[in-house]
Amino acid sequence: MAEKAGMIRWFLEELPKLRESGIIDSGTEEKLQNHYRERLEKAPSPQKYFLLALSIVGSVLIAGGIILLFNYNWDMFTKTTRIAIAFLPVALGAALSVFTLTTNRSQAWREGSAVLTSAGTAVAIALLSQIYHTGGTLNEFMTLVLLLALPLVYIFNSVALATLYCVGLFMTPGGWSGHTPLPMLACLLAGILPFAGWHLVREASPYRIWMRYLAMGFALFAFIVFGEKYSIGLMLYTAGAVFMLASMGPRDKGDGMLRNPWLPASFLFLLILLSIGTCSGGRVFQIHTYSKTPEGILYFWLAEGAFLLLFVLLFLRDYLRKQVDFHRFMMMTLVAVALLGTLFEAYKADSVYMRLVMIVYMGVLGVTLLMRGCRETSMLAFNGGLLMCAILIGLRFFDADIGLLARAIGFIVLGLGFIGANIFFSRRLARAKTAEVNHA
Amino acid sequence: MRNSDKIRLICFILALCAALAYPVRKIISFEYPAVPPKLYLFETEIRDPYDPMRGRYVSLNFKQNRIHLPHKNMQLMEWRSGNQCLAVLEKNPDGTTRIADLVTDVKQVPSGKDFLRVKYNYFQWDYDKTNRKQQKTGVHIIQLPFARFYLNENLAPEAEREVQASTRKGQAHVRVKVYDNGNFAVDDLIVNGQPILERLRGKTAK
Repeated sequence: MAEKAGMIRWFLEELPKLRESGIIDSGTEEKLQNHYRERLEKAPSPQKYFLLALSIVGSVLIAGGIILLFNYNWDMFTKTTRIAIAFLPVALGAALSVFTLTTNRSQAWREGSAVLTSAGTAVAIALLSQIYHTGGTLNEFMTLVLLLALPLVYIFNSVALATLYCVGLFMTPGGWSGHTPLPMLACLLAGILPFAGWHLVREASPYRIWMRYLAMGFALFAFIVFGEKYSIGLMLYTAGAVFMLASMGPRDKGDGMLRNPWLPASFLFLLILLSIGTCSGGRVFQIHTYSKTPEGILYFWLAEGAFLLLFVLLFLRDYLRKQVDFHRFMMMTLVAVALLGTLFEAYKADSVYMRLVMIVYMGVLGVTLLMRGCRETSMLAFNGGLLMCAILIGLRFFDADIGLLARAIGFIVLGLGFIGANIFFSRRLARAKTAEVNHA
Repeated sequence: MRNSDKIRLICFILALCAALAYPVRKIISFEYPAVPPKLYLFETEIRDPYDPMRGRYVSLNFKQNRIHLPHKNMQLMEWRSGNQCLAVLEKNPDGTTRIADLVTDVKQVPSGKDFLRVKYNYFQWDYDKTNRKQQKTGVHIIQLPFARFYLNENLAPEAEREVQASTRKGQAHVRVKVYDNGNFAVDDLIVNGQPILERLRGKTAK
């Protein structure tokens, strides 16, 4: 949005020059000025985002400070006073929240209210546990805090609290000191997903881009918690394909890397996964028998099922919009390959077949990306394809029993080819641009 | 006030009530229990670690974490590793606490006995050093649910020094209130029969 505001300002500065050059008349200039000034007023200013960020950081610091303040020389108060003090931050947060809602305050106030009330509740629980010396573990505490924070995320439409929630999620599974039950972890994750989904689907949402980053955090949490319960390989491949497919829509609309983080992240993710797959074959879909329990398997398939459902929905959406191209089809193939690989692994089939499938898949994906880059004069697709092919060839070099000298020459040729192809492609790109300008 | 904000306000009040319900219920259960709690003494060693957010506390290491139950060995407990079980409490003639049994269900707790929910860590086999042979018996390693006692940041290091001297004589105890439903609250840290704060403040006054 800030990018658009900048473009409008630039265009408004250009208008007098266009009039002076005789390209537009003064009437048109006035109409354009009025139209774009109106749009500029509606566009949120960068200062607004800066203020929002400051209010979030400020609220977190205040909450942290309050906790530290109360922990200082705590035992000089009576138990009743300590209990009263424990509830002070939540009372403060509640008062701020009521003030914000009744006086129709801005989003910055709403973010602050949500964070402060949630932090206040966390402080009250922590201090009561301290007053009564009831102990407890970090994962138990975080689980409770997140459960209580969840409604506030929705009530205040708070992206700051959703971000803190995402961070807090990683503290809930527990470790040596105890484990949070899987149903509870699934509830915590499922609770925040409608909020993330709503902002991701709504084109007008100002938090759409940020939610794309958070969505990757939620997926990572799902891998950590549910992946190892059956076959993490299958979940990683499916999630990689989902994010790649989801990134194709924004890419087609011309969103850059920062606005569409799913594209570079899922590309690198799939590059690594495919590289591992071409070396270890079916073993990448290995089923973890040591930690396998009926409950674990159920939750694994619930999470995996959610990824698969998401994939189907995204594919269906693209199909209805008539946007299904070869690379979307390749993503569908990848999911099928992953499911097949897991099935083979479950029946202890020879992993070499999957290895061959992976090599062929990576090769086809790399070459077609290269071709797409050339056809559409897209540097990104060209280099992505080139990188994929180079890694595939490089890995096969390591596999083969080739002498060091031949290997060295091979790598040099590969590197020179990479640079040469880029120079050739850059020139082609420049020629295409010149032709476009001349044609115009 | 906008209509959407009115709905938000109602939802907020409901959410706040739900959020406050937990701590308020906790206070009520501790301050006004249906059955008064019983006091149990657990023999302990302490250390003084530091937590950046929660400040000073002393970390408790209990002797009752190792339980020998000749009638219940590995067969019963191995599958519980890392899970929760119930420790049935009894008092020794000297007033300290003994864990009489480990059970997996509240129904298995003998009537009139108090219990605590503990974490079952693992089973350690006994080893006959002379014959170099593993025995069929062993100890159940558990973790009691209270591992910390919060103290003033200036007093915690002093407490560690004080108790380290006393533990050599085996006289540092944690006094715990145990409720009939298995809930608990650490009441005090007792060194040589005297609450730690009283003892440290008395020392400072001298």
